[in-house]
Amino acid sequence: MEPAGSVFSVSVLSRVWLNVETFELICTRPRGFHFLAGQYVSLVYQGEAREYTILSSPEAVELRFLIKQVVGGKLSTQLANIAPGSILEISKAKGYLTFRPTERPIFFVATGVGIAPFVAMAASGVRGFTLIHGARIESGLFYRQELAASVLRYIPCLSGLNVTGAELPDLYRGYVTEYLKTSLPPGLYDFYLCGSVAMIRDMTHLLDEHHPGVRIFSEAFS
Amino acid sequence: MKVYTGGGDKGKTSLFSGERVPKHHIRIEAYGDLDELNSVLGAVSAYLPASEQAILEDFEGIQSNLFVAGAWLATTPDSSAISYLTSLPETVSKDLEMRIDALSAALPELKEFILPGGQPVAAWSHVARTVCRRCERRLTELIEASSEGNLQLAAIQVYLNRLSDYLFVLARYLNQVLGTADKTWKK
Repeated sequence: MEPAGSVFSVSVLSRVWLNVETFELICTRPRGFHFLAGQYVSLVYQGEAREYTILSSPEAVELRFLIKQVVGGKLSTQLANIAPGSILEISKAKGYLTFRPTERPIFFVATGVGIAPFVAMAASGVRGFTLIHGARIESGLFYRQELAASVLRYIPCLSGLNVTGAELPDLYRGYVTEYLKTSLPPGLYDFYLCGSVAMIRDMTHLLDEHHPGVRIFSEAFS
Repeated sequence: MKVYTGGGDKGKTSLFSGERVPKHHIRIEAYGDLDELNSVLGAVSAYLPASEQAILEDFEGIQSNLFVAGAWLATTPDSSAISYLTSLPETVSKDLEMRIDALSAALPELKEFILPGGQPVAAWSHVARTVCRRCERRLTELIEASSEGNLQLAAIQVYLNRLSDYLFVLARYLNQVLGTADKTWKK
């Protein structure tokens, strides 16, 4: 058994900005580091630690992380300015938001950077899911093109006032919870939720109340 | 990631296999009792004399095995989530039997019922034993209720039965090592 405190060193290769506050950090993959699509690591740099989901497929040669630069956030700000070649530490992979094959219709529900585990699952070959991605504005709907080949249906939900996005097919103006409350017919589904605590809580209660029999797998971030 | 989501604030929780069930569901009761047992074992372990290295190592293995067992109890048998679970090592129950035999060898033969108690660490071991017995009862209830022919649940059942015996012998052993004689039941 691997020691609970085992850590791996990774080297920063590059950083790609997806919008003004969110970027992808691409790092080397250390030898002996294994993970399942949807798992996360604790990423440590200069004494600061935070958990980030791995975007890459388990077969990938590089590790990609989706990071939102938080105002006042020490680590995310450091990572937003980190130089290629810098060394970070990551923990072994953790978490249970991993895909369970099913005959049921699959719904992935994400808000913001909560899309990350679903990108990893799609990269690992999961197909035929409905993806409901909530963001305030259109630029927060990351990976639309990348996921297009994997989704059965893609529902963008924009909650910001007076935002663009009118050209997006199936656009819903409002929160993901509001969309599901009004649009989901009765049935047995498998739901995967990743996003804020508020979204997970509200979505779980909504599904409990209106769709008994659903299965729910969730991961909340702060 | 957040420890809390609030998803259970209205009395339901998710199994490892995703089903939403009330918090008094038999599976939750079953793995909740295992969690309680593991916590009581932690209390026993905290009181163990540092000189009892072999027992400390026993506990580390037992507490890990109970996590493995808990994951099986939290997963419905027809779920694809089963593929994420690890099995209990095949020898776990046999290993416990060997440890029971080793500890028993240092003890006088038992001819009467003894009263649970004695040294604090031994008293806690008796508490752990009774919680372990409750775990067994919950597990048999779960197996009956769900008609599961799951080999892992059967292996867990054997393991819990043996673990209860181990904790009984351990309580006697610790009392003896710490200089407290068994107190027998006076009819």
